[in-house]
Amino acid sequence: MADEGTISAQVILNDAGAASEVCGFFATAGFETGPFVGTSFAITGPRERFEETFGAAAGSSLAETRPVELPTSAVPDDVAEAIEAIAVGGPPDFGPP
Amino acid sequence: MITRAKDRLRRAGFDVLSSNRLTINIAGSATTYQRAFGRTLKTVEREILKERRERGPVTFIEVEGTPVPGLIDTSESALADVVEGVAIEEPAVYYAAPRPFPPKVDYWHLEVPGDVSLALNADVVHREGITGSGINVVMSDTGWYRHPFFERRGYRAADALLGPGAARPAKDEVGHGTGESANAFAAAPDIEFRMVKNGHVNLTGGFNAAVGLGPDVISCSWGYDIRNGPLSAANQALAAAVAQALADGIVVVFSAGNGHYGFPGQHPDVISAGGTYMDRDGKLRASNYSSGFESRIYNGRKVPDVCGLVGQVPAAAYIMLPLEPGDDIDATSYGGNHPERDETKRDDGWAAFSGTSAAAPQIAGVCALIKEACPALGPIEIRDILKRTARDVTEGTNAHRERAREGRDLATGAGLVDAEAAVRSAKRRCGP
Repeated sequence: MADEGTISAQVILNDAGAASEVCGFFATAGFETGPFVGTSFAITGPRERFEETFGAAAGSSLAETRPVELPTSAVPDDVAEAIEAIAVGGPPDFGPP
Repeated sequence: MITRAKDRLRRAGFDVLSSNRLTINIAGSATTYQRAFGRTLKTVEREILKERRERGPVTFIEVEGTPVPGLIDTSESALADVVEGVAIEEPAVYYAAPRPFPPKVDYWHLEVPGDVSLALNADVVHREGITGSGINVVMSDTGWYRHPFFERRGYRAADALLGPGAARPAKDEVGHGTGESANAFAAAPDIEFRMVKNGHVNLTGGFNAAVGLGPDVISCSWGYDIRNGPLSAANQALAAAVAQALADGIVVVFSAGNGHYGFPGQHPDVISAGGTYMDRDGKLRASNYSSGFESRIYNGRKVPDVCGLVGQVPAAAYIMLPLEPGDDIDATSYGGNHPERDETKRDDGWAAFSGTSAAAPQIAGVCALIKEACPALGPIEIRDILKRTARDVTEGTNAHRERAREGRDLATGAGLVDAEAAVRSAKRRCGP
């Protein structure tokens, strides 16, 4: 179903007006970015890119199957202040087996 | 355990391709296997019957010193505590595409499109020329395989769009998305369909991608089991995306759950899809496989709104659906005896299943019929029409032990959707 070397997280903003700026930051950092809908957009990339951006400690949390939040401390302050959370979700509880 | 095993396998130099609860699919060089498990691999040529009944040699990979062909014994390796054994894949031979006709099995079940269409009262609507034409329906699920069932009927579907982290757009390794999509075509055969194939862990990103396509209807046959709040950050983002879709005029249908407290199936802005079982005499009863409850997250929100057709416990093996031969569902539900198994052949590209996963695309299809009949209607008006025109279900108990009774209830909401009554109501709203 998915390329397991690839990680995807949802960047949730507290200021929708900053969407293009924050999205641009992650695109420049080498992530694929999804459309901004509601309060969030997706960032997708290889595990190494997440570790480069969010620190090596993020690597172990990305191995979890439960939802986790990534630290924003490694992101520049002007970008981080528009971010509410960066969440890696878990698989659904029902639907696909 | 699976997570730990995958991590260890990666550290041993393997690429982890996919996994489920019991197995992990890995790839690596012969040297990587030999280093990790201490076994030597060799190639062996064997003659087999190949495509078009031609005999010829095929290369198999074998393991030295094992009594079972293709099995690597891991018991003396450093990975023995997380990997019970490694099975080397054999070259597959594809004899033919799956058949467009469903297999015949000897128990009461529904076929697509005919039985599902008839049971939803959609046939008479189709005869009046309302078929979902020009209405864009997007599903967010495991992918979509071009099964001959779809191709031979001339159903219109664009190639799947990859959601975040997803790969292989022409494949549906699980089979869930392909199979359940047949329910939408049964209700509305002329919709313009597209699948957003989800990766493993970012369903919100996949849903956002569906919203980004700007369809008329989004159907989601999945969810999280959430009884109490507060919602996690990720689920708050998903809730906000659902609200945005509604604000954009998109009808969003979510499964209520199969005994779960389904989220976003309990979100106030969705059409929450529950389950009704129809027996061979056409009698309706609440599906005891399907959810129905009062939300503790959204005050006053009752789930479901309306129902589609869903089977009964233990496995809801009720609707014979097409899927990719050999995918997860095909490989796990075949054979045996109904109701535990579906009695189909392994890798035949068909399986009997349902759940509220089937109800959501059925209802999405009926929404497409309503939208075609009266394009001016918005999501809330369409939900209101579905609820006012549904067939009341007064018997049976759902998975949460809620009993069906006259009028709206937590067992089936307003009851089974009635395409004919709903489209008539929509036409009255739009005028001649």
